[in-house]
Amino acid sequence: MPVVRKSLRSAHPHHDDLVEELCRHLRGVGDLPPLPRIVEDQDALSSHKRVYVLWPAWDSVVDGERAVIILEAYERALGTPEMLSVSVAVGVTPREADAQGLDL
Amino acid sequence: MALSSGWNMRLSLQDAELAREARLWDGAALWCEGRAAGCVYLLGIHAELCLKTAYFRFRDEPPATPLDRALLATTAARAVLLGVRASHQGFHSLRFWSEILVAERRAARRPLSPRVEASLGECVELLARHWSIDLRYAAPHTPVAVVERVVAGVDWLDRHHRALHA
Repeated sequence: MPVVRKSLRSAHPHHDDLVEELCRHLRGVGDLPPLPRIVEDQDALSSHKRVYVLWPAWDSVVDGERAVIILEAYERALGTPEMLSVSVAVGVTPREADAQGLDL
Repeated sequence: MALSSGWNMRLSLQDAELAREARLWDGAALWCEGRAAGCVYLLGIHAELCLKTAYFRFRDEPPATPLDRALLATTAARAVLLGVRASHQGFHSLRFWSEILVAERRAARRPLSPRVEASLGECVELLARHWSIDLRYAAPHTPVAVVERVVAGVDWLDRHHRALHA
């Protein structure tokens, strides 16, 4: 029987589509819908930023994979140094943001 | 520091630095009392904190940075992108912190020197053979030779802590 090794990176069936959509928003190319909304919170004491992505599409994505998708989009759209400057990457749905009191 | 109720404590990178020092002396005190298993357990925690703090200091995180769920989840995501193979095992794995430190430094084009990287790998393998966080639930017979090996590994990490994050 073949061994099937599943990695977190490919866990969601639309992983790459989600990364691409975020890339489009990060590059700011073309007509963009209001969501996903990407909020960058720059740390005053370092070159790092905390990134929050408000997006209903997260509903079907497990917590751990949301950060992977965000970082992967930063790397693909803006390059590795920009990805490394993201200290915290949090993906939340509008409902989760309301529940957590996040004002995004 | 008084403990707050439950798990709502906001432990920071600076707290981890202080705990790193404290666990070293706690481990040494147990060794002086002949309590080898407890000594190895605490020195392993010290080693974990050495690697964890070196990693976050290399990332230039401010001392007040909370070591919270969001930061650790993002670190796990970085590990996926950086090709780290070791699982984090609740963020206690020595191999995980060693691998992500090496990978992060390479990605930032500030790799460790080949000599230090090789020694770090050997040191972590040695420690990981004798320590895991699961020791908190165990009280194994621990020969003196094992304690001496763990002490040697921890000593290397301590002497090179600065080199790992500078």
